[in-house]
Amino acid sequence: MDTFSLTVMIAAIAGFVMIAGGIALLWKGAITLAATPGSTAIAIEYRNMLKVNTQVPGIAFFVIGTALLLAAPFLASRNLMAKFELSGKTEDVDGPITVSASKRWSLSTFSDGEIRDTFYPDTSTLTLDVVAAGYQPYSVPINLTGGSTITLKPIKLVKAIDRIEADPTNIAKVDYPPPDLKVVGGYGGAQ
Amino acid sequence: MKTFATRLPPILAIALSIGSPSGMAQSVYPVQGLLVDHRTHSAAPGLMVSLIHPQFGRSAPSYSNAGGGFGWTMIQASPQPYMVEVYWGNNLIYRQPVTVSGPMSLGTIVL
Repeated sequence: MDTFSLTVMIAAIAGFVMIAGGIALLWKGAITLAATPGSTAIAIEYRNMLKVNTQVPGIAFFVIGTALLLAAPFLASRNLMAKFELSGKTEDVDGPITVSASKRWSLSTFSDGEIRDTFYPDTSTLTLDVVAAGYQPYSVPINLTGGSTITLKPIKLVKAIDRIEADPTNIAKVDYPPPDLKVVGGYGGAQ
Repeated sequence: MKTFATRLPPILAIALSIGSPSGMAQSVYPVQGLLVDHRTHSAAPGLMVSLIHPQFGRSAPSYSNAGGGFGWTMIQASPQPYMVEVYWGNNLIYRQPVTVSGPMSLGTIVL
């Protein structure tokens, strides 16, 4: 469970506990929802910015509890991960193309062997890397602040090496159907 | 009667062991190699190399660098051999078996 989900769950539980606790305190008579005299009303004041005055302080349990309960599903329903649509085309490339997006931040240089730094990740731009077998890798920056649709200009890859014809003696047979080349595997941590 | 506090440590231990990678430890090793073009006897850059395995399928593609080097950092050891495949475009130009049981250098592959 990620931190965000945990926070939402804690908010929901806290809201439930506050309401249940308020009911329990009401039942035990520790608090009351009846209005108290004006002289015993609770007033909270912070400088000139915030002034709260209530003759029914017990209601706060239910107001805060309800707010937390409502906040939890509201936050959970929001899609905090932005979605981007990427489209583009490569020209005259015979073979599969691998596309990846990455971001690198240059941090400080350290001379004493100790690493200590503070940085603020900026993901407004990413680098898109396009690679295809036999061609030089192609990199292009993409800006994520211009909208959720990213359209690339036509990409023309430059050959890195002339076509190599297969030597049949170099190709061993396999006794199982080899995975399709179009199926991109994910294991191995390719360098 | 056991209290929740006395029961907590074994509960935590079980929970941690379920989520722990060490509970299902798998040996993974780096595999590296070098591609050379037989026509020029120099490094073959930009070729796509992948490993295929009857159980694990196709690995992430590794593209040979300017010096012809390629590799992976985490290939799971397996008694069943992988096949190293090298592609120029869609064309398979090399495929040979390799058994991964430790850190491995495939040496120089002449294409």
